[in-house]
Amino acid sequence: MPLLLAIAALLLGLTGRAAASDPERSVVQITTFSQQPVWDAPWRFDSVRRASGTGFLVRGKRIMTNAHVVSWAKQILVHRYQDPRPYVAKVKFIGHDCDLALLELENDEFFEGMQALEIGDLPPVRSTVVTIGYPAGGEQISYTRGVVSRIEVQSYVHVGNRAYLAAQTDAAINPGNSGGPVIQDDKVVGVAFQGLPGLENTGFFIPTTLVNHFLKDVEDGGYKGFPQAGIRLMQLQNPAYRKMLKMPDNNLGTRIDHIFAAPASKKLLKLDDVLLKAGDYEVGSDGTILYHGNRVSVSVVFNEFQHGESIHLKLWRDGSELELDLPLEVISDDREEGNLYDTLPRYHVYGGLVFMPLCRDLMKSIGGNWTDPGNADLLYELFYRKHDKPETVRKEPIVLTSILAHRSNANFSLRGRLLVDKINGVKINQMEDVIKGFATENGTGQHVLEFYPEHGIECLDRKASTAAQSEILKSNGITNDRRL
Amino acid sequence: MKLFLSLIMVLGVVLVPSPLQAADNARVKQWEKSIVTLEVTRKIYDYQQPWTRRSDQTVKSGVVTGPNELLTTAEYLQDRTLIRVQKGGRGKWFEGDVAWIDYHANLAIVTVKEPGFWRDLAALPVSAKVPTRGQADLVRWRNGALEAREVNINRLTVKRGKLTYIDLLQMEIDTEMAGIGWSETIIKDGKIVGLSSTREERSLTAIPSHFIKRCLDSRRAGAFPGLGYFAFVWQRGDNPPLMNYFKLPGEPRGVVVSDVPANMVPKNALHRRDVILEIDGLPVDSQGDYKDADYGNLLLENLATHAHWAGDKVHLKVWREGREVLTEYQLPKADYKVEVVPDALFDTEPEYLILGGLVFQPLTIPYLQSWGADYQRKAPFRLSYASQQKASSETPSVVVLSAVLPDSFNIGYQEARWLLLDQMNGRKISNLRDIQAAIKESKNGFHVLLFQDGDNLRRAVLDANSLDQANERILKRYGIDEPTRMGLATK
Repeated sequence: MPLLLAIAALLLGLTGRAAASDPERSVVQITTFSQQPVWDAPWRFDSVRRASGTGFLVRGKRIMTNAHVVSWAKQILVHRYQDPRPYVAKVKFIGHDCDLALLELENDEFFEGMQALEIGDLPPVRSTVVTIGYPAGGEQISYTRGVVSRIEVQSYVHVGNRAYLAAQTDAAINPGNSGGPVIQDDKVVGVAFQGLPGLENTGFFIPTTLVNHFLKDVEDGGYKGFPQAGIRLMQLQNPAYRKMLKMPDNNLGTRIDHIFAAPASKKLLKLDDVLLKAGDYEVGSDGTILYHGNRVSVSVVFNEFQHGESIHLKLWRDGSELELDLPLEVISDDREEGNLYDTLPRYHVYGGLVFMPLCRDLMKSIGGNWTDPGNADLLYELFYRKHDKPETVRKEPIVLTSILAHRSNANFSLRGRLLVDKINGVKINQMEDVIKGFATENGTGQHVLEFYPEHGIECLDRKASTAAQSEILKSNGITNDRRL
Repeated sequence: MKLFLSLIMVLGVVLVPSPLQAADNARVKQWEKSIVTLEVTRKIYDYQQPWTRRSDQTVKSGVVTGPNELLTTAEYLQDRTLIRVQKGGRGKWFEGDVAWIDYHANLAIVTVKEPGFWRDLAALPVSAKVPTRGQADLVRWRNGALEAREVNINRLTVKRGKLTYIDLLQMEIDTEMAGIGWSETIIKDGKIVGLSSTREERSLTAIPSHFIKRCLDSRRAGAFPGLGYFAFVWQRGDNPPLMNYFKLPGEPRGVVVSDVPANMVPKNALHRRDVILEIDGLPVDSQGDYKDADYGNLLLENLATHAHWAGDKVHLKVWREGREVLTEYQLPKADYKVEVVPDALFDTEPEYLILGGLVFQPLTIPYLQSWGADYQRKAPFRLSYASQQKASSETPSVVVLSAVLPDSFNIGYQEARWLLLDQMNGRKISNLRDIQAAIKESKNGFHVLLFQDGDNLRRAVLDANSLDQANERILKRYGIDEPTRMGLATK
């Protein structure tokens, strides 16, 4: 019996070593068939597109990959290393902010002979890493070696309005590599995720600090995301500014220049508070900390916390030090400023008029020139009003995006994408108000639509538009007049 | 001999002008006494470095319209340092001077003091009526010879003027001629019918003589009041349900007032949601056109300049709350300064103020144009968006931090730029004079600057005690003569 146990342990040990030294056995090819909605005709979908990416097995029989690999997927197929059989997978958790996702498979056979890859630490700059994946240009697994060039906060392009820590490497990261592990000393030190157009030999991977945050976040069965303090920090290097704040003449401290909507920050922090220490990290006058040997933005420390946790801060306020615990929350009221995924666009069609909430994806549907001056009012509403006139911000600005031509609306003279102010006197703060507005009687026989900021006005004949509704929907192939 | 005679005959056919050609040559010949060439030297400013300037020369055309009176467009006469005039297409240049100019009208009268200049020159009459179609001659001096080329008048239309934000009647001309749009004279039946202003592809825009004549007559009478315009915003009224909502009987007609200016005179002349049915007794259709007795359908904006000047009262019939109302609207004067971001700065050096290396300028269209003609796409969004806003009593104009000249004094702010300054030392900032006043109001030895909230720096602090010393050092290091320039005329 003792001999038997010893052999079993040896076998396990051998299996473990085999997995560690052959990480490709834990790396899978992911093929997706996805379909996105058409943002300027939200009841329609684009044609189904095939794409591929990479994933790898992590503990708990889950495949980790990038969120952008599996976004809008109608079907996800996973191929094991050198196994022709496709396995159907589905998304268990997805974090669009950090571009990570976990897949699960119904068929347990898939995991036979596979070992979860171990998650390592943040790799040192100049150290060597290997990316493993299934990039374009072939069907077989690919290995590329490179060094970690630098580690700093980068924009995460999948969501478009978030920036987190990212590691840059000269190991080739090409389409298809996305979601693949970046390996060092047989451990995963990152997840390949994006490149920079125009820059050669430059790829980025998501470091394990974010990977671990994501894995911990989903432990309670749901993904919430990365919390934020809701503040804007500005460097505090001008001698006069430091002097006015009675700050010592050293290289420490960054200034709170703006406090956004986060309630805890509004309550506990003040403008011109100087952040001296965040968690265990001293904050430099340029807003950076020394983090695993890298000088990076202090936001990295805030990103280590989970939603609802508190970060301990040391501040300088009114000439003396102050310590407090700041609760952190996930901020989602700027969601529409980023790219939206996996949630079909809300819309309402009435009398041929198509109403949709204002969001970045809607703006992108205008085409390559969506930042042109002709769209200035929409851009301002989406990105800037909250800064300039926060008291006038609407919960969900609604846009009259198009008019489906019909004799009942043929003389509607205002054209283009218009922000809707009121319908039949009902102020439009969100899509539900559009429904409410059209249901509101005003005794004139007309539906009255008012627009902003130019104060335009237009009308639809009530009877004619109600009578035309089904004909317009039918002739445009719209099965439902709304998606709320 | 036969061969010799034949040659003479053939040559004769070629060399002897036909009676028609001779008449044409005589016609063109007489214009030689009226068309002149102007050479304008003027200052050009770099709004990214408003303390710098260079000079530039432009050659354009003019035409004699009366005693000591050369008519030309106002364009390229701004910020002038020297005007020289040449007659006959060659020979001596005479120094000229501007006797009258109106940039909104894009018209100027240049005169020459030297009496000898006017000898042998003859005025061309300005036609009171403009042809809406047909052929005319475009005339200019070119390489010492008077060039008269046939062009086709295509239509008259009301659109934004070349140098103004108001809509004016303009003549559209089809031509394949290149290098035109420099105030060449358009002549028909021996009279001036237009003055060229812009060429785009094969279309030439000209200022019609009807408008020119009104301006010149007013100027000669010594009382040119300036151009007026409709400052309200309207939308088309051709949607029957909209007119039904307003309970306007009959077919849709008139236009709907969607916004009125805050400083309208009289204050309640127009209401938002008024339907303008008539202007000066002329019915306005649902597209915003009226039927002009001479020129057919034209946009209603033309009625502000067709027979009126700034300050005139225009009589309106509007549909308001279910009944017709007669009202009067006083035309405001076209003035670049009424815009929160002025469209143009003519004959004024760009203003700036350097505060410890922080360069402040009024936000103007010429500043935005330093990003190029398509500045609305290329300039920072917040700045170009500001240019589309209306001036208000709280914000009559705005000041931009355009650049920072790096120095130890402003360390920490070197990357700050293109920010709109909201307050300084608690004082609201609308122009550079406000900053000058705020400089005297430092608190506890500091200047506190508050920029408009956005996605960038909100607050900056400067040391008030060492500001003068820093200014001196920075100006010297960057080769700038003066720390500020405000409201200086270029001449």
